[in-house]
Amino acid sequence: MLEIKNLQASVEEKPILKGLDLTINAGEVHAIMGPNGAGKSTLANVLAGQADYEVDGGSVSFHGEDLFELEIEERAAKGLFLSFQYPLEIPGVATMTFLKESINAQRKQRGENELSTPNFMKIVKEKAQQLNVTPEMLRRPLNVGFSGGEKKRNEILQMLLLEPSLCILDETDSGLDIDALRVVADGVNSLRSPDRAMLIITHYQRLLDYIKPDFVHILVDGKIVKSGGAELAHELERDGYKDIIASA
Amino acid sequence: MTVKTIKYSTGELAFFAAFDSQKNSLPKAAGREAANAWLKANGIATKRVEFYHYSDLRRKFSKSQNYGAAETNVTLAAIKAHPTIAAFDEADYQSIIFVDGKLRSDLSDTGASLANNPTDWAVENLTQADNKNHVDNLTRTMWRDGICLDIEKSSDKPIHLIFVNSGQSDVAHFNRHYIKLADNVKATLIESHINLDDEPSFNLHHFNFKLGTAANLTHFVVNGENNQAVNICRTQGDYADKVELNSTALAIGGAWTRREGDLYCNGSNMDLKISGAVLAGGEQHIDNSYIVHHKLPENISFQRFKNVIDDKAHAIFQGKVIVAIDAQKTDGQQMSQSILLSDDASISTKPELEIYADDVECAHGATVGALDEDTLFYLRARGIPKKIAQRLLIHAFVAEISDELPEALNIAADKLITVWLNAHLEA
Ligand SMILES: Nc1ncnc2c1ncn2[C@@H]1O[C@H](COP(=O)(O)OP(=O)(O)OP(=O)(O)O)[C@@H](O)[C@H]1O
Ligand SMILES: [Mg+2]
Repeated sequence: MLEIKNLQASVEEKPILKGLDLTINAGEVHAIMGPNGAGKSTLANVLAGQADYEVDGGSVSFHGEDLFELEIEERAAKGLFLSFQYPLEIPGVATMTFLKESINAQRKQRGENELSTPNFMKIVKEKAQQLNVTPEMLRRPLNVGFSGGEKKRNEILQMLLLEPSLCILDETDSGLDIDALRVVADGVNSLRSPDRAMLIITHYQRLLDYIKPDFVHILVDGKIVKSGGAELAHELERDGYKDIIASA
Repeated sequence: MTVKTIKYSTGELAFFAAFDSQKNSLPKAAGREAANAWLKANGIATKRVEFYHYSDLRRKFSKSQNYGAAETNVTLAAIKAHPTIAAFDEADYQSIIFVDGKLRSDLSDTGASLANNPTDWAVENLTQADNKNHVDNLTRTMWRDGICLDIEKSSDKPIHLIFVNSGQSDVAHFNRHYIKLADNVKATLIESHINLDDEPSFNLHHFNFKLGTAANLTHFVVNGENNQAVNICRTQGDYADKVELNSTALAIGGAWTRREGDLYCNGSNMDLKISGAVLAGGEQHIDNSYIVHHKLPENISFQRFKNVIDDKAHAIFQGKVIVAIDAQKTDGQQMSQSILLSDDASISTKPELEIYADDVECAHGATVGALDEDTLFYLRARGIPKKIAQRLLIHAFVAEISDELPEALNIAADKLITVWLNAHLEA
């Protein structure tokens, strides 16, 4: 589904990703861990198409297409979803309006019919309930005045509605209380399927207890320095990054 | 005493000549000659006149400008089918329709003409002729018609003034209007300017508003003309104690639009909102310039304009608040916020304060910027195409103006904004 080869990227002339390789197949859940500033969010943002990040080399194919040939919105319509580490607040655009615009824009780009308003409302209501997102939150401007945890739940709500094929979660667990973490993890797990893949960026083992990864990768200084199974996350939790960085 | 000699432009000469040849066919009124003499002595304002610094009036008067009137055949159906008019539910208003500068009672639901049926106040005002404003004197000289409204009872049903241009290529029309609200009256006025074809049009309007004690006026203006229309609208506002005014202008069309006013607070405890949203592209020139005269204490005036400017369009906000020595506890605010959508788009803002009292709260602010890239990215990352994302953000930006309107008018404004956005940012 996603094949990243020797990816190099920089921000403001400063190289961040320095030759990153990663292949994700349908049905797999991958976790990426790594120290602050290693380039995890940079990877996520490069994949989503954020213009502040310059791609300097390498290639990424997504569903067999050159990802960098696709506009930001085309990537989304083809199934790439990034749950942001820091979701933006957008005053003046009601959450509900935003959700409807995005779901219908994606359907339109895929040549599907737009959802009727009652149909859309029904789906939103159901998924919002699942994530404890209140109707009152849906009426508010997007993320405006939402708490950190509410913003993250709102991101996952969008993911459940848009049903992407590749879910990239950038520190979705940070800022969530213990109950919300479970609610969010349940939501994410409900999307797990053989034709969907996930890339979960996190600092903590706890999220991975709920969403069990097939592979864990350790990203240090713009490269993946070690990959393994779920047990690697436990090792990290116990020993920290020191040994891994030393042996890399 | 030095005698100024003015070298008139060919456009000025054409105007003066037109007045000389047509004055006998214009409705009889005092004040025409005096106003014409004032114009001859002062010339038509150029950008050297401070108030017209960004909108040179004289350059709009050309040698080939046509003056005069002709009967035009238009149908009510054609007027009501115009997108600007169709945005309003016709069951919700009483119409007063002008076609090419003439009040058309045959097409209108109500209204009395200045030419045929002037109110005492209008006659008195026309006789005074002591004004020093260019638009005032231009319209005093050449007015052919106008509306006289004495509103003595509150009504939930708005009056919809519709100014239609049709079929007469580039004939200049001059109107003067007198609108009075009695004490405690609450009224709503919609004012729409449209063209029924692609021909150039040229209009000058002068409005006198006299609002009685505790009168409450909502005045919603839509400039929905074609891209060849020149439209100059001036308001003189005379407001008594406790007046509440919500004046909101939405510009979605027109080539060269100038909306100006001198608003006089002749009482206390009033609350004046003068606001507008400008959506402009192409080579449009849209100017909103208001002077609020705080003469007496404890009045609030809030001027707020939001501009969205694309292509080579130019928007202007020139606001001024004058606080007289007696006008203590004045709260006078001016705010201009602009989004530029292209490198060639421009905005000129010149908010000014002239304060002679010491206990006042006055401020002005102006912001100019592009749409926020990070916000656009967020929307696009959810699959919303760039143009639609831009529309959503612009809509949110200008909705802060239209949301201040009563619901029915807000719905109409929203439709018009959507139409502009869909046409202008085609996905
Ligand atoms: N927009 C930006 N402008 C300037 N520097 C940036 C920008 N984005 C990222 N960087 C820099 O790039 C490096 C990698 O940042 P990135 O956000 O990818 O790290 P991360 O691995 O996600 O870290 P964390 O665990 O703290 O979220 C950091 O040194 C950061 O300061
Ligand atoms: Mg990060």
